[in-house]
Amino acid sequence: MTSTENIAQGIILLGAILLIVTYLTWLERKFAARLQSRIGPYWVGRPHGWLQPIADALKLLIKEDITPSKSDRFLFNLAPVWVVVTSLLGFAFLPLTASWVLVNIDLGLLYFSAIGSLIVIGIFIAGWASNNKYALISALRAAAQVVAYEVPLLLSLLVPAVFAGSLDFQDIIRAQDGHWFILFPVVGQISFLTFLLAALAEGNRIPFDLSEAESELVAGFNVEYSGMKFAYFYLAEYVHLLAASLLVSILFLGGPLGPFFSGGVWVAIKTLLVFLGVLWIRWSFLRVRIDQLMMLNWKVLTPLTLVNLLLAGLWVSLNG
Amino acid sequence: MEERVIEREFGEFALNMGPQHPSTHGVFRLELHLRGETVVKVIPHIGYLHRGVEKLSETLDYDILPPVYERDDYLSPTANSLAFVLAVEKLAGIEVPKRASYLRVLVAELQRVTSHLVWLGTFGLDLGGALGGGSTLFLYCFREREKILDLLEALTGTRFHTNMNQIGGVRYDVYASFDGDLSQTIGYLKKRISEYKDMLENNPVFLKRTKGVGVVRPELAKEVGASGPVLRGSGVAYDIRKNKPYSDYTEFEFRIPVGRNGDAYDRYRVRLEEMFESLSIIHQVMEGLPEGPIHSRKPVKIALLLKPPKGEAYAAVESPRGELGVFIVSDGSSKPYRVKVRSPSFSNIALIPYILPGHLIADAVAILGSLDPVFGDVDR
Amino acid sequence: MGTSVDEKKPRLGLETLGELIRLPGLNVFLTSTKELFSWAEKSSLWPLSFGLACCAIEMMATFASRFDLDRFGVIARASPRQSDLMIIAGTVTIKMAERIKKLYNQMPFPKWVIAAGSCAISGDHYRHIYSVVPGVDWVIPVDVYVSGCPPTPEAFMEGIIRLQRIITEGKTKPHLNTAYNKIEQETLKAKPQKTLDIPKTGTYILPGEVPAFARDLRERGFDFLTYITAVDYVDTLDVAYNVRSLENNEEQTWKVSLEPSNPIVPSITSMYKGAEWHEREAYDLFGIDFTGHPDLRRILLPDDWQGYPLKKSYLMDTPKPPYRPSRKEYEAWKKE
Repeated sequence: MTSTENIAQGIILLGAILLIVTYLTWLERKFAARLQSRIGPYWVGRPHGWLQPIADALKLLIKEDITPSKSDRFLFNLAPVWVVVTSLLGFAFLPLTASWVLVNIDLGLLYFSAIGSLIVIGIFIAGWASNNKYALISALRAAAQVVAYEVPLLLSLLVPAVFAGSLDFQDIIRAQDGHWFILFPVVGQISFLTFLLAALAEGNRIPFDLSEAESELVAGFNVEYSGMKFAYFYLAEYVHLLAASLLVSILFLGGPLGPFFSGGVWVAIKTLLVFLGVLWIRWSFLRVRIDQLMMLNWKVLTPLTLVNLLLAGLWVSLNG
Repeated sequence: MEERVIEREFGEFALNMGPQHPSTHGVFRLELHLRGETVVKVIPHIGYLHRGVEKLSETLDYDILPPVYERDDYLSPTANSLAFVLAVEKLAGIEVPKRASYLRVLVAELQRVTSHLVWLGTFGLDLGGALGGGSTLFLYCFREREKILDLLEALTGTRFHTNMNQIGGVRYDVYASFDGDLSQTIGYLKKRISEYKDMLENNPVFLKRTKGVGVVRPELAKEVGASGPVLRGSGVAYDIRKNKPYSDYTEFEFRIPVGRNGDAYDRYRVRLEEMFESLSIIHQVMEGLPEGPIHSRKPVKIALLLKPPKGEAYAAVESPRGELGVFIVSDGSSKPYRVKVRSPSFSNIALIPYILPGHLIADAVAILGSLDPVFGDVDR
Repeated sequence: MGTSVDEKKPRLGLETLGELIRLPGLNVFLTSTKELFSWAEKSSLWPLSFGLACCAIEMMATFASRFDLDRFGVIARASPRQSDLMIIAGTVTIKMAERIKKLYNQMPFPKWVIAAGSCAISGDHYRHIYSVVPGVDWVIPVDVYVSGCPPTPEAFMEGIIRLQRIITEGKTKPHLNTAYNKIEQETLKAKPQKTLDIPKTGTYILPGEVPAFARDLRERGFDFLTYITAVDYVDTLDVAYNVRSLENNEEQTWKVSLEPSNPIVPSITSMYKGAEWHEREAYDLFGIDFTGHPDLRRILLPDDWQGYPLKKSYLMDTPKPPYRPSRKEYEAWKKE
């Protein structure tokens, strides 16, 4: 593959992700509306408000862009860009079909998890630079939360890697042929659930969306952001969520493996199902408190994932 | 205007919460002094909705005032006007027909259910945020509330400022098929509220967020003058409907639910049980609705007609938030000389400086929500 | 006074651009772009979640399942920076007016304001009250008025649709009034009050006896403080206390007569914690000085308020510039 081709593919991928994410916001609003016995977006583009995300994006684009006078201008403007870029970078390493991946490297999983946790730096920058007390508290919460949840996240990510004996996504997918990792008795399911919980905490989703808790912190780290900069945060949140759903479908649900359809379709279906599952959790749970969140992490998830990883290793070494 | 510098000690972080904040339940400002996320000191500021209704009453005639009072505690408007008309009736010695008393109870209890539903919904918002499970609970509660509002709209013509009470009786009588509509609604609500009860009481996040949070000792509650579910949540079985009965409440059978620990969870339980009790009272009202006139005075054409004798009177009702009393001094003219509204929310949120310190910010929001203040009622 | 303002909105300046670059067909393109932009603006109105009084409850009901404003693309945002629309739902008081102005200024352009309910439009029956702003258009410019007390959800939806129409047509002429900052001194002069012969019943004690009396009751089990209030009888200023014993279901009321020119009474905050706020309220509205109170400040009114509103000598419609016009100004505005 030449580098020109690579760049062209990258641009197409970027466009596709942005379009998908735009419509994921619409999907979320419709889904939430169904859950709450409402209709959701309806009048902006018949039928069913399909133009709604376009209108939102366009409006945010032409909105006045405010930089508060007491903020740190450079960092304030850096944060949204940082967040979007880091959240998009992860897609470069994720295989979208059985064979196609933008950048194929042996350590895909490692790279992905390294980049995935960079997003919190953007959130922290945003909270700090806004010079707003709510944003600051939110940033501190986000930092504490992500640092803590990185541990169970990685530990549960390692279980599929241990099973496959590789950090390469292609190897992990191949190893699941005929036997998805989620179907692994006990170990697989625990790993799946802990990963999902930790990913929710990392992605700032309810019940762990403490850094954006609008009933306490108004809007959290993005309280001072308006217009397009706010849209960047919004975008990054969904990109991150999409990446996490994609990762779950690859690591635990066999990714492109499946009968009848081609690999890409299966990836899409599985990712969408995981995404909807996350939405379901979001729209039916209340929020936990920061101390309870930390307690859950250090006292339950971390030991559990550690033991789980040991069990997986034991199993592999006995059968391997 | 009052942009004074908040004085704080070294190491403290002062956070200004409100008056525009998603979970202050209206216009309320909390000056939180934090160490980390723990509240060490709190100064509440009220008065952002002070509409001077007590001064206004001194310039309006008695018959005009009940609708004005309905705007005070806007989640249970009838309770306000009921307290006012009871005080005037006490002062002027006006008899109220039995049917009118029953209808007053009917609307008051219907509005108690709507008020508690709004409370449950907004409490969900406090705990779960507007973009999450909390909003789902909120929307469900508002959906059920609409059923009662429809009923009230059919009965009185307005959705919740019913304007039902007038001095000497009520304004509207029930229509022919009201009984059927009502029992249908009651059945629906009972089913739904039990569902939410199961849903919340088996939800670990909800239990974790409410149990042991914002404990109000009964001594403190009494000393501050807290009433209603806040007082009963602390284990004091005091209800104006039982202890100082008004409007024929003695003729209905109902329990007073009380809590044990006085935490946010107990206050939630008390309110939830009260909804079931209210539905049962409504049922009893319809069962035993006596025949007869609905008001003892002729329909009022000139407001000046009513001139209570000189003197003073105090009448209290159990509003969804607690004891709502009206203290009237009359100088013998057609306008009250002085009206004092003893509002339950005012006393209830006076608890805040005593119970918030030691909790986290998230708990501060939950505690405020569990006290269920209505700022039209606090500031009057 | 009722001047409509045309605020200088920092729009994209498409017209200027079109004039600078004179290209055939460019204006058509720019016009359609403008239409597209106004379509986006009207289709995605995010109001600030901000409620003041009764109307806010109906506004919430409008957001709720049955009516569902989300179908127009309207979702509430908690931060003013991310909202386009401010729905003033409820009575605006002078204490709140400053905050509303601040929130309005924090919102990015283009922004709109809906005044919902008769209190936000004109102050309704509170319009002549000392602490109320008679209509939010004395504070910030208003685009759409939604009538009702409170407006029904249908009216709210109609208001949104009307605003959308205004945005499409581009005819935003928000309305803002200005109160002139002159207080007519004669209106603040106290009216002579005639003494009334209202019978003063109940247990009257001397001001000095209050703490001992309260302590005695407290020890006898009267531990629930119902209220403390005051009545201005012109010749005297009476404070009434009510305490209860919930166990025995008994209550006890006592009163104190004070000199109106120098009302001083010992505080009972050391016996009843709840007295703190009740005494502050009596201080705020009547100017009664409670000696020994730990924190005697105004509670309902702003700290810099002049006068004690519930005294008979205080005029109900005292103006308070810049937000509260005098009655004359208000009447003149109403005629316009």
